[in-house]
Amino acid sequence: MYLKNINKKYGNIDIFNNFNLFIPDNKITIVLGDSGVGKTTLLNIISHNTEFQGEIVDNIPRTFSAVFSEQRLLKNLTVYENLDYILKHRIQDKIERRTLISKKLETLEILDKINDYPSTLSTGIGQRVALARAFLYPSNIIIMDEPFRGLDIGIKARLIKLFYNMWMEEKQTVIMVTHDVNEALLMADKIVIIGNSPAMIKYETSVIGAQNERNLSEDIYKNYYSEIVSTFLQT
Amino acid sequence: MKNITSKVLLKNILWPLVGLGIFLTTWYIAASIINLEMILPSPVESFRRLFLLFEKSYFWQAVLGTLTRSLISFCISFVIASALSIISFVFEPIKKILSPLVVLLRSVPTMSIILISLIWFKNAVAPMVISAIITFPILYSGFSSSLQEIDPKIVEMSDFYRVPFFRKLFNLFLPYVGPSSLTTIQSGLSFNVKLIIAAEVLASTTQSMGRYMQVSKVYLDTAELLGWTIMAILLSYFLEFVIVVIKRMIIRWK
Repeated sequence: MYLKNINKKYGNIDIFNNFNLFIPDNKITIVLGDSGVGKTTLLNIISHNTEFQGEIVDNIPRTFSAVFSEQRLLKNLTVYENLDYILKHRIQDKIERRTLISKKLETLEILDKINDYPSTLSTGIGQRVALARAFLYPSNIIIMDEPFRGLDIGIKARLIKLFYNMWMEEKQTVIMVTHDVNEALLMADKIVIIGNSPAMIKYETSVIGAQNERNLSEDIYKNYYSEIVSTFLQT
Repeated sequence: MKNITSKVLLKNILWPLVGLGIFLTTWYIAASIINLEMILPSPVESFRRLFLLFEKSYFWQAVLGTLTRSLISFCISFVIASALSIISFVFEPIKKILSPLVVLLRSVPTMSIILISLIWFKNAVAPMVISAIITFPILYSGFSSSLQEIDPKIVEMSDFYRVPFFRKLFNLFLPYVGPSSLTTIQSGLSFNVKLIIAAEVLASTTQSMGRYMQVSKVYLDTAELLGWTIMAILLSYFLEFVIVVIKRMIIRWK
């Protein structure tokens, strides 16, 4: 997917001015940047949830799912009902939906919470339900807007691992924005740092590559850490 | 478990009964001291007169008449208030346009509305018009603040996943707006009964509780007047109780 000559304004402020970005298919692209630089706007542009000028060049039709920084679960529905809520119009067969939901919750180790209401869930468990929602919805792009923000390091590490287990099954194209360099290094196939106003790419890796590197290994740190941190700090 | 049940019983039944007991005892003592039934009959006498009224067909016709008028006027007010609150929630300018009207309706003296309506409308219709007009700003403001309960982030999430409108309506909009709207409806309904009766008194509407209360007053039959009053309280309480039951049925997530 290519974002070509993207222009976006809020009032008189240019957020993007002739912005270009390549997003590789079936990879995890992570966009790093400070608050207010236009990271979330970029996600909205990619998912066509905001108006913009420019072109998104793509060779296959896209369906989107999303993980937001908040759980965004309906307080009046149980975990099962919350997942069924977004699935009903895509999968007609109730038994199939039930099976898919149960299986996904089992993968995320929260099957016992299936009949619980969101108010009874911890933040980490709630975010697991949000992850389940994104992976259950039939999509080929997953948009993630700081999905691990505000989580304890232990919970975050566990969630990232669970995210990988699910992602490995279908390898959807993932675009995630964050301002946590460690998250980016831990998860990304490709890292993009955006800064300035209007936003521009300050730093961009090519596809980092092999799965076995995606584990905070010495190589990753040696090759990228100092470069990414210093560029990020400059933005 | 047993302990919890007894605590709930104590909180929800016993203490309110104690409060009611104190009120009735005070009333009884005051009636005994005054010792003049025309000024303040005892609660025993008032309830006795109410039970006597139960046997009269005109009593039930009046109660039914008042209840019907109350429900019709409330429904009119409810439909207009809910429609306008939704429109002004979606279109901000409409909210601004309506705001002076709502302030006006809220601040105009109730008696002015009653008297003007009595000039303009027939006796049977006037109470409904009056209570619909007076209840409207209460319902409109209540529904408008209930609509603020809808979390725009949940709406955004639903739109992102292309959730169809009717599923959003029944799973998101109504459940989010419902609880506080029902609280508004609950207080609006009992207020409406009071308004209808006040208007019936002044309009002397046939087959109405208000008219019989006025007749009791003319004949200085205070015991019967209080009997009708107890019935009006029971009517309000019954309507509020129905809403409380509906609320308990639909809110299962707290």
